[in-house]
Amino acid sequence: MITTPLDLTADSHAAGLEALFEKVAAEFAAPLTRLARAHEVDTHLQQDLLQEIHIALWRSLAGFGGRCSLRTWVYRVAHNVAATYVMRSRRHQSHRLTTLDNIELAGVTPDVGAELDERRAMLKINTLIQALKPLDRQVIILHLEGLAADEIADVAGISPAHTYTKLTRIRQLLAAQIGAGEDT
Amino acid sequence: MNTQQLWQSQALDAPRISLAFVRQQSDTLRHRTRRDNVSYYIVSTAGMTYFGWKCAESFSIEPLLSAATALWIVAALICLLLMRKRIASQAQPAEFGVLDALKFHRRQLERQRDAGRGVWRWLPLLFVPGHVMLFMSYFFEITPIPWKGVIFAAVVIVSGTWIAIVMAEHVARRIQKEIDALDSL
Repeated sequence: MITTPLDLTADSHAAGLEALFEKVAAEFAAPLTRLARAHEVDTHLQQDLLQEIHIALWRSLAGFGGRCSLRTWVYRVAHNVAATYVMRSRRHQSHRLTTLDNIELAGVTPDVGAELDERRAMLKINTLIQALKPLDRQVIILHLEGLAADEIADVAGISPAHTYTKLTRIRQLLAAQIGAGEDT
Repeated sequence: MNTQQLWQSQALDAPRISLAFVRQQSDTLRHRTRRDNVSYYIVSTAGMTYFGWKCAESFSIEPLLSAATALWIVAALICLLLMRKRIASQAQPAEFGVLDALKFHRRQLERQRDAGRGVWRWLPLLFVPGHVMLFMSYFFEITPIPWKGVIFAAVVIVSGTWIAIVMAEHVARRIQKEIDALDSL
């Protein structure tokens, strides 16, 4: 079989995409799993959401032109899929989602005490996340993943000033929920 | 341990999804969409070809009936093109942030809702020339005038149009509920 230069280019491009996907799947396995867990309580549906995210990433990587960092791209695509997932599942939910500003009304208990263990803390964080609207949910997850404010603004498609406002509110909420240990 | 460390420590058992699996899922989705589109166009083309053939075959005997069939085929073609233009789904760009993604999804829903909601304004009009030609055929090409056939055709046309409009309105109302759910987020 004769391989033309065009075939070689296509082959090397495909091989490059596969390598990039393998890198993404390995490097972001834990954050993507946490993202799925934050958006879906049911463990089986978490797997479905995770698969959807991986498929979207696989399909989108061909369009990744290095205009932003790989991390920003991955989070953007993953959160995009998760937002669509929330929109779809929202139709079947009986409870209403709320905003960061109204979260006290959803039953936050600031007095968690010093004996709070990690499991209870995680439960509280997850409960808080799952009560939030998609944009607020995205910002809090990205904050917990350790992204800087500018990077969060870039992923979420909102202004840095808006992001800073939300982050301030998130820090206050997390401090109230979990107690000490919320860093900047 | 702060909340970020606590959060990041929770998924040490993160599962790996293989490239082969993802590729297979992606291909399956693409093939299914293509298969649906192809079967839709095959059925449409087959129907139009059949009626086109019947139209040509009966042209020398009943030219008005043939003209009616031809007009219906043209109307169906225009209808196909308009619906494709109005409701064909567009892929959401991967680089969108969540707000853009929400807005994009809402716009797609609005397009589909508006296409369904406004159907009564244009869909029946497209087929009116064919219907008129059919009744002219009954009155001028067949002796004596087949009144039972005329009544039956009128009932089929009116009820068919009514059902198409009601179904389109039903779909539009369902989509509006989706938009309302989206706005409540």
